[in-house]
Amino acid sequence: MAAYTLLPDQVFNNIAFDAGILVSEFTPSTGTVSRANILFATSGGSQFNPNISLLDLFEDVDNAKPGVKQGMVIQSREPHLTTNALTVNTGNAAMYVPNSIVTTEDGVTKIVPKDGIIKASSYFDIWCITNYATMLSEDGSLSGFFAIHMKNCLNVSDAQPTTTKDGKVQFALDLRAFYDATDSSIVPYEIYFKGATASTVVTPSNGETPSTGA
Amino acid sequence: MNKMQALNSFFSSFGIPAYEENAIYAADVVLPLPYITYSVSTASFLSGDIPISASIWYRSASWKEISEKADAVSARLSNGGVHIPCDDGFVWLKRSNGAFAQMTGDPSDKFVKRAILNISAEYFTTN
Repeated sequence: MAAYTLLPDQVFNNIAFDAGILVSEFTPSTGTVSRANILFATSGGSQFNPNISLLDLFEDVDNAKPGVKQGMVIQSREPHLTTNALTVNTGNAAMYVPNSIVTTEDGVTKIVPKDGIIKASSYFDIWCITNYATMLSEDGSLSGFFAIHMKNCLNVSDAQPTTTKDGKVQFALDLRAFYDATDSSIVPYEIYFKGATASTVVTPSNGETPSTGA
Repeated sequence: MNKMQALNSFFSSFGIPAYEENAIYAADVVLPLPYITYSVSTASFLSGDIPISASIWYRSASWKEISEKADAVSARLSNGGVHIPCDDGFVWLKRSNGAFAQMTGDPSDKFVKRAILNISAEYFTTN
């Protein structure tokens, strides 16, 4: 066996997996999720990019090499979460179109986009949560999770449905998190993760139905 | 528990016996239906999705019991599948892309009903 072809310790307890869910509310201390809070069904997974913006203070200093660590400043981040959403309902309609007015009358929901200053109520928080370590329970109370919390989000791609013959309509979502002027030192995203609570999954023996399911 | 035992524990958890598909021919007697047979292919971390084929076998005039059993397996593998712990890590069983259950019969006996299941296994094990 090659001496440097090794996997890290505890490797299989440190992997996050599956496509994940986008939810409106999540409490990391309990880890429980409610299906009612899942905002969209998605296709093709999702991608998160904080888009860090670095400034080199020594860039214009004579005799200084570019990229010395003492001169580096993180100016800002522009976090984006991109995915393709499949579901539209009265709960998420306003999220597709930034700065919109959503009304429902006689069963018909109307989304009216508005220009101008974006009203504060248009911004929303979102959590992107994937399984981590292992899967132990459907409600998340025992499972490990890897979660990204994005604050003050808008869908900066606006409503962009794409239709295909014999296919499902897909809405390209580009959710961007914005800073808050009341405290712009707070970067508008955070990451949480927690390992699974129990060390083993209950294993069914022959012929018995297991006590914990998928 | 090794990988083969892990697969056996999964397929044995649906209330009817489960046998590796070649083991049924090695038995001294014809094993009574219903049962599940499954193929075993093992791999290790980063080998990708390995197809595991399983079949549910019933002898009945009706499709009811076998279709309910296929639905039970499908339900267990929904929401991302299951992790079956084994020596050295765990086996992640999921539904394969495409058709999950294909209902068919047996040309030698008109009452035998068979559901072919397409399952993927991903091995999170160092070996």
